[in-house]
Amino acid sequence: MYKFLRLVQNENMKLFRKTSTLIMILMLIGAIITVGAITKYNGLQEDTDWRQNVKSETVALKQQLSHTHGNAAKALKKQIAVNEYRLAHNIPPLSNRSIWGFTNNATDMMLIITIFTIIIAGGIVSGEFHSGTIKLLLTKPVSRSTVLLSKYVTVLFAGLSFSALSLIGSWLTGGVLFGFTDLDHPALTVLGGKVVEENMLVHVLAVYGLDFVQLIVMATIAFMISSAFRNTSLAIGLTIFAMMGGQLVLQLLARYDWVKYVLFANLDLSGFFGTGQPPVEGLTLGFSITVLLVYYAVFIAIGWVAFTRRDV
Amino acid sequence: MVQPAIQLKNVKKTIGKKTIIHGLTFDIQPGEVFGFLGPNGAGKTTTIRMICGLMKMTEGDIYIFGHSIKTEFKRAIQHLGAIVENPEFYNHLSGYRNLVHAARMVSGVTKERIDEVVRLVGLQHRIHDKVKTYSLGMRQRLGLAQALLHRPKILILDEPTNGLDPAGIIEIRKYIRRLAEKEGLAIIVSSHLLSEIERMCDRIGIIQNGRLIDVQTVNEFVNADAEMTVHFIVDPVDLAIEVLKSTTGQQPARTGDQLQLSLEREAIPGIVEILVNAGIKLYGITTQKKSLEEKFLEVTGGQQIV
Ligand SMILES: Nc1ncnc2c1ncn2[C@@H]1O[C@H](COP(=O)(O)OP(=O)(O)O)[C@@H](O)[C@H]1O
Ligand SMILES: [Mg+2]
Repeated sequence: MYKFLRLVQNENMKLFRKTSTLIMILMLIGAIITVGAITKYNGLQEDTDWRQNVKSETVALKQQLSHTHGNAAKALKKQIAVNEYRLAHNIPPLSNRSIWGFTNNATDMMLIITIFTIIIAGGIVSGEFHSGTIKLLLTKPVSRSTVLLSKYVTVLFAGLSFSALSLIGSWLTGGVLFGFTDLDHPALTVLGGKVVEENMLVHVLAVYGLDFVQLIVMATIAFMISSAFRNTSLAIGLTIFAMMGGQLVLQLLARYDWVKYVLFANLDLSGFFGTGQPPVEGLTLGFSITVLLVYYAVFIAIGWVAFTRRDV
Repeated sequence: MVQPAIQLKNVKKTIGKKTIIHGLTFDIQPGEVFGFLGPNGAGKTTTIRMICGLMKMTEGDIYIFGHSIKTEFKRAIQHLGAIVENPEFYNHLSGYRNLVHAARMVSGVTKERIDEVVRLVGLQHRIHDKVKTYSLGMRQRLGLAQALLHRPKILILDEPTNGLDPAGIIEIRKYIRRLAEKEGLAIIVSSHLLSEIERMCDRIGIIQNGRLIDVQTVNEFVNADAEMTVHFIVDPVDLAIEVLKSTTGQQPARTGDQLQLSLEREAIPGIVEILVNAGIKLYGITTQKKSLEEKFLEVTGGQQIV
């Protein structure tokens, strides 16, 4: 165990002393600050009468509902319920120009963070083969499984660090730009068919957490390809291609019943919470988690077998 | 009898349908420098990769102080320090951090020990520079430091003199002899440079096309056949040729006023006497043992060494 932690320490030393990793961190911070500045100085003046907005939006939603079915209809109903709760309890929607509004919007950074983590996962094993340094790792009294696990843990740690940086960075940026005010503004969400008020921090953490599931799966795919084919470009290219093409594949396959067994139908768990909707009909949270775990186990097994069995 | 440091027992390696190593069997004793000699593509690196556990063998087994590299990998490998092929490092880290990286993977390496090996290989002035600024010779030295860090009892160096200048080669040779003689390490040095291996090894194994053709001590190897090449500087040359031809039955090779013959040591005084008695002026005699290289060519049937 002690040896394992020292290996993780080694992997972190190698990763965070790379110029490319430092550039990723700078890009992330730069993106947050840029978006914040644009929101503050370049956005249109928001309408002050939020009640009128919510009312007209609700009317539009109801109209849409009359010709919608399935998951989409359920999602619309939840949005309508939230809007009505807003009006009844006098809770305005979060402004983009508020600390929590900005922090909430910045959860979109998870797309960039996922891509960065894929890039790290795709290079962390194959890079050692490319440079020949794999020999330094595998001629030491440590099992190959331990070496591989230390790298995997480091990938997830990097993803987690980026996410934490994004959360803290966007909250601070939001505070500096829009003032550390209205900190107890509640988020409205639907839980068990009822609208509930939620602490904003809990809400934002939940968004990051659900996106992190997707990050883990995509990083694991890149990691598996990196271990099996020892080729960084292939690992990064294939994984990002799959991530981008996944939704398209879903649309093409939507009419088949077995589409729910496709990985991409189960990646976005946020549909099961709040006012979201699952991408495919007939899914449940339990089913999606089961499918994800099966895929996950297969990816891990392929990467592990390839790394521990093959000649170097 | 002492336990051998390394034992190879009928080690075979087949990749696809091609057999690269055809059943190697040999032992290496503690304190011995073993030269692993063969032309490019003979299978030296493949054998070393199997000893280090990087490649699995198709058949046979390798024991390091009695521990099988197959079934007791960690216990076997801890006795071993190696540079396999080129000394490769994390170029974006300093030499020192590369050593810290290596130290974290083994047990019992202190900061003092790191400083000690850095001094041993004479890198103290550049150790905090990034490895990407190092010359090949410095990388080779850092490789040695990395391999020696955990005080292994066996050191494996795959073509350590490759690409080094003469001073670097002499330095590596010095380290190898010192480690074997003072610290009792068993050392395997592979090379296709015969003249190099002849000067640093106690015993040489010749490998060709994945087969061990011959294992001999360096002394045996060079002295196995006492015949040597003898050069005579004489005047008049033509007369000397005739005399030598009639006494030895060989046609001497001529270069200017030098004549060259292949003779046994014992025959030299007799020949000198005959030449002097025939009135030939003898300005000098030099003898030259056959180099290992010539021997090697004989053993391997004259195959070209690249
Ligand atoms: N991974 C591999 N796949 C197929 N053949 C290989 C592989 N590695 C080495 N070889 C072959 O095995 C032989 C021995 O190679 P090697 O051990 O590198 O020789 P040396 O180190 O003595 O120059 C060569 O003919 C080489 O082409
Ligand atoms: Mg080689």
